[in-house]
Amino acid sequence: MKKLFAVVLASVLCGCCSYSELKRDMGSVKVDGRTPVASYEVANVSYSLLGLVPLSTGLTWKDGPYSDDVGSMAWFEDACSLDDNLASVRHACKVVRADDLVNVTGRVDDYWAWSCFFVKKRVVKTSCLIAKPEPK
Amino acid sequence: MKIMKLLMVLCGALALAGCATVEMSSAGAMKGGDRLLVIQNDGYELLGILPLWSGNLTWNEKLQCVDREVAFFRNHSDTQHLYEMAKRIAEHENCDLVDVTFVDNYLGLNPQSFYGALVNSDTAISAVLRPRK
Repeated sequence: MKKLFAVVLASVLCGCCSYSELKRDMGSVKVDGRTPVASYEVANVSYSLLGLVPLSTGLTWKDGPYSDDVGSMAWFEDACSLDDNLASVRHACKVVRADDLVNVTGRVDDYWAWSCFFVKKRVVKTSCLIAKPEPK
Repeated sequence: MKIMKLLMVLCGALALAGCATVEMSSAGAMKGGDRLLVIQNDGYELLGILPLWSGNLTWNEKLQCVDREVAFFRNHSDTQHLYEMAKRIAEHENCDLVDVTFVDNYLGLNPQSFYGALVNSDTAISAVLRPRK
């Protein structure tokens, strides 16, 4: 029974990953007076013991031109914060060669459903539109 | 066994403390010194009628920061409450609020709910703090 529990818990922790999606926008519709060139959304998941000791985490998008190049996961680290998500946003900006952010929204959710196993799940989501600065 | 009980109590306390979340990105994470602010609060009611507990955010005038507490038999999980807190933080940081979005998930009685008769209301506000010129 203990072994089964360990296998189930390990498989849940391994499933910890980030979701990152960059979609280029070829339209000409303006948002807040600026023309978006892409939309970007990133969600990262982490698990920690009692909310204190990091167990596993999804990773930040730092390399590669494709948003699903986000890599797998890391043990005993926590890359699940607004700062980490904004680092992914900065990389997305580099990829589309624009850096004006429009409609930036964030979300932080702590799930305590696993707390009976002393595990806290955290999901941090960030989304935005990336626009080119308007010529003056 | 005693350690197990102690851990359960600690876990329960952390679960209650985790009702309200205030997160702000660091100053260099966005262009122009902007910072992303996210405030989230959970409230729980029995059968959607009797408030059991919720997070409670108050502004500490002395320390000039947000205090996170747990309120029993009250539900402070409403967007107006979070908006007031976001305005307080913006005033303190000498910033304006941009890109303000609200989330209000009143889940109602939900047969898939993990907690059965417990109804969860989850509210959140996201905003960008832009330094005043």
